[in-house]
Amino acid sequence: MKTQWEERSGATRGPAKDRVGGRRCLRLFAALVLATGLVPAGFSANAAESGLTDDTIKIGMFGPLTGPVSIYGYPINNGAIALYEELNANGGVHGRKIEIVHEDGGCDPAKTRAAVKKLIHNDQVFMIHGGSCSSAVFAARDDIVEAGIPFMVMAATMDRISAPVVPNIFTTTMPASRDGATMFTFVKSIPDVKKIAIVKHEDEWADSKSKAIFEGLEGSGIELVANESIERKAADATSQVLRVQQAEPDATLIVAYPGETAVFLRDALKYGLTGPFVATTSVMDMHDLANRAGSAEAVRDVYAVSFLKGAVGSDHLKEYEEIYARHFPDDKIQALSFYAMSGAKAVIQALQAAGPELTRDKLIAALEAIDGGDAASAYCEIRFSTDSHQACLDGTMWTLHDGEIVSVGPTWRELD
Amino acid sequence: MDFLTFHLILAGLANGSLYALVALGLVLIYKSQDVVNFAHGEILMCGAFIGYILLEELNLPYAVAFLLAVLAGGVLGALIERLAFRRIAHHPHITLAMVTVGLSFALKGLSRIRFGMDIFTMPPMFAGRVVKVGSLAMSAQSVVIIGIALALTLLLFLFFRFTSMGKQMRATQQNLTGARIVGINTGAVFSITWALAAAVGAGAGVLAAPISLLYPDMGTNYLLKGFAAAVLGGFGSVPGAIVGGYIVGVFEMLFGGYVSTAFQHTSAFCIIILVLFIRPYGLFGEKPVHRV
Repeated sequence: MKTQWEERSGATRGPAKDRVGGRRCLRLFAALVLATGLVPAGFSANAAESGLTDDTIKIGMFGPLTGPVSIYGYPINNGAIALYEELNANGGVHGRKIEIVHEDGGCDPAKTRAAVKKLIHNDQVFMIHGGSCSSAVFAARDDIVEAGIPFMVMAATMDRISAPVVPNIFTTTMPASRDGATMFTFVKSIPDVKKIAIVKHEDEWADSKSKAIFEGLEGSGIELVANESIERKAADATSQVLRVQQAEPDATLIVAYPGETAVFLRDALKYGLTGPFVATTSVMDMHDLANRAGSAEAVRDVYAVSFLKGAVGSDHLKEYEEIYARHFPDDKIQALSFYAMSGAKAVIQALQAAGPELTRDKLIAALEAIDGGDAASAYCEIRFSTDSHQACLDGTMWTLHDGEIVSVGPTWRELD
Repeated sequence: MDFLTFHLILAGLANGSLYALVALGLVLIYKSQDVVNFAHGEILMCGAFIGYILLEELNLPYAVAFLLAVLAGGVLGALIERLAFRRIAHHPHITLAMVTVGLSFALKGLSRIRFGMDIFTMPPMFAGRVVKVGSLAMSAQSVVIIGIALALTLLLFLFFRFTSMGKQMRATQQNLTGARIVGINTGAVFSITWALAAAVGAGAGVLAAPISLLYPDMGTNYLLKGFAAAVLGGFGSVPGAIVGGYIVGVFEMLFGGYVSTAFQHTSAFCIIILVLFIRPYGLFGEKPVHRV
């Protein structure tokens, strides 16, 4: 007598049933493995192109969407989304619309790893464009490399995320080493600067930027007379300012986040420490910096590295401000709104170049082939190669002049 | 005294004043209900934001904004006691402590609804003004912080020492059952204790806001430093909280100025460990006596 299962399946007792039952067990096991996300990485990478239909391309996006750092998460992510939505509004790419899947990394390494795993295995996205916090993205890097899924870094700056080259990771965000190198090149070009001071955070973010500064110092003839630390969330920089002041530097380099940079500049003004002060890309929104520091006077002699074409409100960014405002009319437009647009632009260019028969390998090849591509709001052209998956390596210096943010250029020049 | 030492000590006293006020709020509640108020940093944050609204949005004078923010902090404290603690006052201390943790998250969440994740700046009372003592100059804001902190401390001392309610509060803190037997309204005492502690915290928030920027998480650092000050002074000792606050503030500045800025903030906690090795009950705490 056949059981119900045997009737439905057509399986019979004896050796044949064992074989069929064995195959069924294998399929069941495979389904379970897939369902629980325990897919071996190589298998996932070579599977049929998940996240891709005739009508849609599923792009995973992660970033700090909750917690204190979400202040950076939303505007950065939304800048990229605005470009993808604009593409959708214009008919998509080869008949496919972009579908965004969000995960919250909270700027936390463990949470970000979980978010990335979920995007790859549960949401089965075609590619990922995400990550604004270097340490969190770096924690998830191995998972991304193993999965082989195309990954465009959103705004994380740590060099080791995208170098040395791995086939599937690309970035158009100026790497930290280039940020530091741009700062040092500028300082070196300021007339009569022989002694400098550095004020920096003690974390990977600041270390990777200041490493380039320390390397530049060697043999440059410029002496480092003070190397001070400033804590994250510091509300007072009296000690740092007074120590720098005692060292009498010709210029001070600040490798800190916007809040702490503002605190240092505010206290520098209070105690009479004068510039020039040279800061990282983190404070390129100099109106915001002045607001945080409590006065425009505090940022009078500050020069910050920028990788954008122009300041918020300038003609250089007008086109992209309009795109952003069209898709996020309630958002405040700020410098952060443009950070991820160059990456989105590179992805869009590569999707178009990869053609209608899209695969992940074709997308990676198309990204690698971009040579002189439009970088949207960024101050660069996108150039990838087999030797480098880091584009947009050059920046310029901005300063506040007569209440307006102006570009000084990569080296010192006297402003009118 | 040289320029560096003078400014380090002055900045340390200004920061220490804020730590002392936070520690004072923590100690008042601890003495009354044996609970560490983990929401005290958020009460400070609420005070700062209330001050910001009054000052920047309603354009009230600084002194009026400060007083109203302190008053609002007091009302908030009394409400917290009445709504969240009165019915569970007899529960284990760990339960009460967890309620304060919940309150901390709730207050932060509520502030995010109104202010989002942006960072706000509040102008100081005397922007850019300098007070000169001989050849040494100090910012007027630092003088204001130190002055107001000392004034609040003095007012609290007078309140506890000379008013009927102050005496009732001390009696309740010393012996709750005895206070009830002699007819003290202990419920009112708890409410006023919370109101005073929160008012002091809110005042600290308004003073801190111009130097620390305003955002929903701004209270965390002050809570940690205030807690450190209270432990150093001897948790439960009001003078200890004040002195502890000033020691923490000045020590971390001098350490940053003369030793290393890399360990400036952890140095305060290191000195606490050292002091507690020698006096486990803190500088002003009393050695516990166990009756058998």
